[in-house]
Amino acid sequence: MKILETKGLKKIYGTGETKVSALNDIDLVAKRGEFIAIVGSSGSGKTTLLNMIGGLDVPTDGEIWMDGKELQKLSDDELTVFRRRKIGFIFQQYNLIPMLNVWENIILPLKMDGRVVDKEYVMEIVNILGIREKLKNIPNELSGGQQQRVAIARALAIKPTLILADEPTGNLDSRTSQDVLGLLKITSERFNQTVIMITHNEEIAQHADRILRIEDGRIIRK
Amino acid sequence: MWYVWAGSITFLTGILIAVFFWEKERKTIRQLQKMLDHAIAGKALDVQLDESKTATIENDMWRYICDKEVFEQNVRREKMQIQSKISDISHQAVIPISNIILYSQLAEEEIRTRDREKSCVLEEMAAIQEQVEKLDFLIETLVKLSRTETGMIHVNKKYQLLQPILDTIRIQFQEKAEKKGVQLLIENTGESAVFDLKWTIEAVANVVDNGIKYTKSGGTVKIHVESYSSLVRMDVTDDGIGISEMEQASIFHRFYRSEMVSEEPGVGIGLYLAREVMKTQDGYIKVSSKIGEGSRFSLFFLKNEISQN
Repeated sequence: MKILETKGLKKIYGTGETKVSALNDIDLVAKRGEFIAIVGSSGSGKTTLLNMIGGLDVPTDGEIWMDGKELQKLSDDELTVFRRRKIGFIFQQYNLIPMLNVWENIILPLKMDGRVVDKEYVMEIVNILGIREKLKNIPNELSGGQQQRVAIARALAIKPTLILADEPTGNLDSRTSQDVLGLLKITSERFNQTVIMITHNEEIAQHADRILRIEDGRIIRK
Repeated sequence: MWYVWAGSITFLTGILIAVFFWEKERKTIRQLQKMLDHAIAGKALDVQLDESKTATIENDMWRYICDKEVFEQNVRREKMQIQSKISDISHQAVIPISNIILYSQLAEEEIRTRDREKSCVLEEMAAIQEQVEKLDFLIETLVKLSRTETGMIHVNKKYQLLQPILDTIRIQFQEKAEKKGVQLLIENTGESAVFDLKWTIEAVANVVDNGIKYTKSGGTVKIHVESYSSLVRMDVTDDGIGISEMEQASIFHRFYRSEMVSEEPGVGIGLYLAREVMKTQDGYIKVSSKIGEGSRFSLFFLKNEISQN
């Protein structure tokens, strides 16, 4: 079942002489439960692509369909709700709220949506990710790897349609990277979650079911 | 008189408020009813994206319907695959069986008439044995096939040492590797993880078996265990023929057989089973490989038991 489809996605910055096309005719399909890695050198357009899929940036041309909705057709308010309810973000910089403890950080997106916290489900995530002992701590008291695990838990807690991970191990050493990515993979399989991850690291990309290479704004399939 | 007026106004306001909430609740219930009717009819829900409570319920409902549909699709596909594979194996089984009958009848006749040399009987015996081996392979495949049926893998996870897996693998494959001239190097480990011993041995055995099968004489197959903070990783590395990047995702699919190895016996179950086993015990398996340089299969195990509370 298709969960995400982009059709002829284009992004052009500037006009005339200074025109730069960051993305060129990107056709991408993600099926439910897939773990896809998008690899490419910096400047290849992979972050631009991820931002557009996440509704953080607007394409110059083309369509993005997710869960039966066309993203460009949504109003700003609808897009906000859509992002909060359907997309779990994992960033390189973790982006945890420093004043809130780990538990509060994890359930924040649920609270924002006015939903009842499915405590059993969230605790299961917390247990797999091995952060049970840290729930009362604030993010600053945790290591980078632990903070990223909290970010994974936060992304999973809302049972999103899609998890978007932007260089999730960019700030971690290689051993911790393996650990954190392994946990992302294990949890996404266990909870039947679809993940699109961008990275420039081949070793990290190999954890995915499918690797897409992007160069000069185009997906090159091998 | 003023208190009569005040009393009646309060009373009327109360009724108006009650009617308002009653109407609101009826509306919500009507919406939920409509949503369920749509779901029952298999129609797509038009999930609203607003801040209302019904919208969040709609969203969850939609998620549930989609999950269920994906699951059903998978079950249907698996059923079809299994059916076609079983009919394929049954057809293949007919030939060795009729051959065995034929050769044994010939042998019987020759022994009875005693007008031919002994060597003829021996030839037929060898032919029978060859056919029996084919049959044996097919039956073994059927057994494996039945194990890959959805829900057949029941794991009994517990936190335990990984070394017993390595010991079993060593005993099981030392001879086979030597026969082929492949060096099997297993590094001992003191690490522990959460897994089911019996199934995990089967998973690792399938990976090692492939490694030996697709590595030429003079090559090596290595097993190495490494520990991270919450995971343990077991690498099975060979310097065999390797797997192209295109194929790396497909090799874990059920019944997938690479074009490159189509002459080797096999039905494409081993790695699928390995992946299913790892998934069931909350681990996973991945591959990295280059054509001509070899492959490395990494099995990841969780270190902590997931308690249910």
